[in-house]
Amino acid sequence: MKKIAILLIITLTGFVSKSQTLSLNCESGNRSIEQGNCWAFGSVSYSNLEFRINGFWSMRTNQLTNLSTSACWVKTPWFKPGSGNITMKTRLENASGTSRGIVFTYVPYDANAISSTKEGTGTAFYTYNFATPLDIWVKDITVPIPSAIANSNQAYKIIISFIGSGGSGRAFADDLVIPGTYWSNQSNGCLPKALIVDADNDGVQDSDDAYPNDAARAYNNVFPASGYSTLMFEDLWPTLGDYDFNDFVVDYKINRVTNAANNVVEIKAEFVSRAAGASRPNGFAFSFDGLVNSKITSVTGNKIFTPNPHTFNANGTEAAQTDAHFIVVSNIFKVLIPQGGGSGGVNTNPSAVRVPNDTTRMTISFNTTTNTTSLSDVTLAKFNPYLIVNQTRGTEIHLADKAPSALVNTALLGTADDNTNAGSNRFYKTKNNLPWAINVTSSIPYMKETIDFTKGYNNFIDWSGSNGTTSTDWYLNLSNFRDTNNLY
Amino acid sequence: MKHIKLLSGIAILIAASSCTKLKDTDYVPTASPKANNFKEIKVADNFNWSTTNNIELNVIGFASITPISNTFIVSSENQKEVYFASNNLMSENFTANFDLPANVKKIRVNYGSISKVLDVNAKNINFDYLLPVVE
Repeated sequence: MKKIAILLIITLTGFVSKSQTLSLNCESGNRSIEQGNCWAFGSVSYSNLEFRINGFWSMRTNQLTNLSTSACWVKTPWFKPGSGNITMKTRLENASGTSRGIVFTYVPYDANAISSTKEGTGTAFYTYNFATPLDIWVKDITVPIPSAIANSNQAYKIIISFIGSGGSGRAFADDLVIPGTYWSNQSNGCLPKALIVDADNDGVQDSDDAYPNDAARAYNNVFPASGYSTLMFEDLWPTLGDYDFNDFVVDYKINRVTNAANNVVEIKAEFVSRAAGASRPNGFAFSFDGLVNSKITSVTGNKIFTPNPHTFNANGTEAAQTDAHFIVVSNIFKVLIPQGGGSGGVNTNPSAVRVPNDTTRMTISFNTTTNTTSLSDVTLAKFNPYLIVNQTRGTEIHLADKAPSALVNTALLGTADDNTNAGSNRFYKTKNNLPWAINVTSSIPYMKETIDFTKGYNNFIDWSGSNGTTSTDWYLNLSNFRDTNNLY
Repeated sequence: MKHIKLLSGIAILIAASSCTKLKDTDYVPTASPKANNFKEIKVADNFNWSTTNNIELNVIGFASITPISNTFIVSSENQKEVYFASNNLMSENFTANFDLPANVKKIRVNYGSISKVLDVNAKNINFDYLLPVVE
C-alpha cells in the first residue's frame, strides 16, 4: 500500500515546487517534463539503474573525466533565491578515479546578454569534493545559499556541475532542494517572469491581442484563413441543372471574434455576390448546425427587400426556425441587377454588361454572459449556407448532406432527381451522390454560362473519381489546372 | 563466384514467382470509365464534397509549476495563415477545433515560445508541450 501511495505521488511530477523551494527528484523519469518547467541538463540523464539513490529515478552523469564545469551539469530555472541551505543526495557509481567533485555556481539575469537565455556571468560559490579514496556510498550535501543572492528579490539560476579526473566513474544525484521562489515563464523561452503589456487588462498580452484596447474582444478566428471562399449553386433543384454552378456565385469570409475567455462575441461575415446565372429571383441565407436562437443578441447588415418572404425575431434571426437562421440577401437580383431589366443572368455571359460585385457585411452579436458560444459551435463544418429559390420560402438548396431549415417544404425532398433521405441524414444529393452546390476554400473563377464545371477545372474529375484522395488541390491556380477559356 | 551464385538464385526466384498463375482473387478490375462531364461523375455515398477537413487537435495540458496563460495558435507551417487562436492555461486539456484546406498536410502550433510542427494525417491529432531535451 505504501508503495502504491509513493508511486502515485512521485509519478505526478518529477519536479516539485513547494511554496518557497525548487525541488528535483527525477521521479517523472522524463527530462522533457523538467525541461518543460525550464530545468536544463548537460550530459546528465535520468537513470533507474540499481545505483539510483531514492525512489525509482535519479540523475546520472556521463563519465566524469573532465574538470570543466561545463561538461556535466544541471541548471535550475530562473528563481528568486531564499535563504538557508541547498540540499542534495549524491553517490559515485564506482570507486575508481583520482578525484570527483560537484561545483555550485549562481548565474544572474542579464537583460543585455547576447544569448537568448539572458544568463549573465556565473560565480562559483561552493565546491564539494568526494573524499578519497573514493567510495560508492550516498552522501548528503548541504550548501548554504550565498549571502550575495539570498533574499535578493532578483532572478538567478544555479548550475550544479559534476567534475572529475582519472577513471571513468559516473555520479548519481537526487532529491535536490533549493530555497527560493520559482520565477520562470515556461511559455516565454523560460525567461524570468515579467509583467505582460496588456492595455485592456483582459489577460491577453497586447502582442497577441487583435483588439488590445477592447477588453470584450481578443482574437479573430477567420475562415478561410486568408482571402475568401467561393460558394456556387445550381438552382433547379430538385431536378438536375446544367452543372455550370453559376446560378449564384458568392465569395465569403467569416470572422468569429472571441474574447479572452474564448467565447464567441460576434461574427463578422462578409459575402461578395459575384454572379447570378439564374432566371429567378433567389435569396441567400445561412445557419450553423445546432446554433440556437437564444445565443444571438442581434443581427445587422443583411439586405432585406420587399416583397419579403421572411419574418424575423426581435434579435434579427428568422422567425419560426429551430436554429438561428440568418438571411443575407432576400433577393439577389436586387444586388446583382440584371441588365436589360426584368430577370436574367448576371455576370455569366462575357459578352453582356458586367455588373459590379456586391458586398454584404453582417455582424451577428452573441450572448457572452450566459448560454455562451465556443468556436467549435461555429466551425466551417457546421456552416450551412443555402439558396432560397424564386422567393418561395420553402424551396431551399443546400450543400450536399446539409439539412434544410424548419421552414423547408418537405414535400419537395426526395422528388425528381433529388435522392434525399432525411431518416439517414442524406440531403441534397442525386442517387449518384452529386450535389447542387459546391463550397471551395479559395476564391476561384466560376464557369461561363452553360459550360460544364469539369471543363474549367482539369483535375476535378480526378479528385472526385478518386473519392477525394488525389488532386485535393484541384481548385488552385497552378499550371494546367484550369481552362481559362471556359471560366468567366 | 559466390556473388554470381547468389544473383543467379535471386533471378530464378523472381522468374519463378513471375510465372505463378494468378488466382481469381488476384484479379484487379480496371478502373470504371472516366467521367466526361459532371453528370457522369459517380462518387461514394460518404464522399466529402468539401475542400476542407474539420480537425480536432487534442491538447494535452502540461503541469506547469506556476499557472501559465498564453495564446494558443494553430497556423500554416509558415505561419502566414492562422486557423485557430485562443487563450489557454498551459495546464489545461482542451480540443482545438478548426477547418483546414484538404491539401494542407502540416500545421504549426505556437504557445508563446513553444513551437511545434505537426503532420496532419488524420482528422483527430494530438499535441503536447514537451520538446526533445536540448543538451
